[in-house]
Amino acid sequence: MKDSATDPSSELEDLILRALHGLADEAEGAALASQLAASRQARENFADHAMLQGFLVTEAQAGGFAADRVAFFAALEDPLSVPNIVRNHRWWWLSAAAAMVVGLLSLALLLLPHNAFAALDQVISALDRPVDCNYVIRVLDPGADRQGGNPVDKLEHGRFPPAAFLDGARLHLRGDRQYVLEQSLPDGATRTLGSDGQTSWCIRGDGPVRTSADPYHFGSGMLAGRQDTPFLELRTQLEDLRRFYQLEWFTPPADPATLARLKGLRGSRHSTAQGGPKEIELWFDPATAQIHRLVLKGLPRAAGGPASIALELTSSAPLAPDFFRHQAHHEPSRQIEAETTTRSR
Amino acid sequence: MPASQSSTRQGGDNPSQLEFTRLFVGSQPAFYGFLLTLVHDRHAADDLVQDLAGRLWLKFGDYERSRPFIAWGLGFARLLAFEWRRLQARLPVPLDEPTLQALADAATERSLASDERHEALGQCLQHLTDQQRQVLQARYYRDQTVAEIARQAQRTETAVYKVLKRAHLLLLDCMRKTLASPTPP
Repeated sequence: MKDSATDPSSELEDLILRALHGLADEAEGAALASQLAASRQARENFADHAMLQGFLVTEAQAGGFAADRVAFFAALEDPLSVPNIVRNHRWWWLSAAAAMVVGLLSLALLLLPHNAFAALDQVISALDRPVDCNYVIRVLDPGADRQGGNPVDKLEHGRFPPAAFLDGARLHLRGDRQYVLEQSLPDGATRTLGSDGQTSWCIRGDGPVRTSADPYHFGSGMLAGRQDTPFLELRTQLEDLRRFYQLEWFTPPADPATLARLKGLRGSRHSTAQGGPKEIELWFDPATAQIHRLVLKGLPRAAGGPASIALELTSSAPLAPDFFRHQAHHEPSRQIEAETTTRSR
Repeated sequence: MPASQSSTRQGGDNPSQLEFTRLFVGSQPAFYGFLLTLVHDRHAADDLVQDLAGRLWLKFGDYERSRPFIAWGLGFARLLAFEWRRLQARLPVPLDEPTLQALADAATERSLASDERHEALGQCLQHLTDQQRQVLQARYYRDQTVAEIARQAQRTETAVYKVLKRAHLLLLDCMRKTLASPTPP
């Protein structure tokens, strides 16, 4: 390679930016490659732009492009800090909407403070980070059986109901596609199920390892219907929260373990036509957008299962790289059985 | 450490894991920018950062604490990016080996000064116009393409690209000036 150019031209800037924004065609890509081969300054210019683009991604996820960054974070701190004009209009519109039953819901949605959505977007975006989160699951309400008793204490057809072994289960998540759920069953056996994002697997006691090409195959049956694995599919759950729930802020207590000051978003489902929990509470750290507690209340119980559960963050220390593969959870000689059917989704 | 801990299942009380997390999280923007310089694709860079975390953790036992963590990690990042490029059937910017090595050297130099550059960017962001902020928010926070932003804003792709270009050049020029200015006593 020899250096032939000394000053970056406007043409070079264009080629670099078009390539980094995915706009360059084949000829432009070749022209840029030729300039990068020929000029040290072109390479340095390219590296400057690419590094800047990397920083901008990081900055965007940290709220750096909010029109007023101070106000952006202040709004997250104080849910009532929406401008007065919005609050005044809200009551006026709500009064008018009271006479218009059909329009009530959409108007309320339109007038929701946007920072709630922005905060929820931050939490969803944080799921992309390669950070491991370890949670313990608490069954807050096992749901009464038809006779009004506690279903957790009763065997049905020789099997314990899901609520019995969800309480105290440990859930490990990496990004939004890899999970491991470790459960102690009432009969003393353990059940571990997980997915590395490609293959899901399940191990019960000393039995064979069952695997499936459906990443959520073995989560089925834990809770009812389409929402059988709301805590395994966190991105889907949070996107549903954005689309189908009415959001409001609340102030949860600080995390006793980390003393992090948490923010709370509570979502109430708009309609029974859309499935899912009736209410969702999201406790998160506004500094990192990490979920510290997720409460799902009023879960569908057509097929049994608990009525309300909570995920509580216990640690975000990194797990071993292979932790989400089944091989990390059993001895090499264990029999492996591949399932051929997939769950319809 | 890694060989014996590669099957660690609960890491909350492991000092090595905590140290690794602290070092990796602190270096992540530098690694990401470095990888982006070599692969030119944000989604590929996202995946490679995850791969890098796994590889560095496996080798963390070999890491000499006297050496900067970023410098140590960049060696692995370079190999990962080269490997990724070798596996692609077609690349939008095809580069030969010497050019790629030279580009990696330029990116390494910038990654090692990542903290200063990031700090300079923080100051320069104040100079953006509202329009530029909105477009950058769409492009980098919502991960929208130029075409998607144009459709949503009812503008042409050229108009959106021009806003992005002006914002990039403004920020880059400001960062260069900030980094070149003498440090206040």
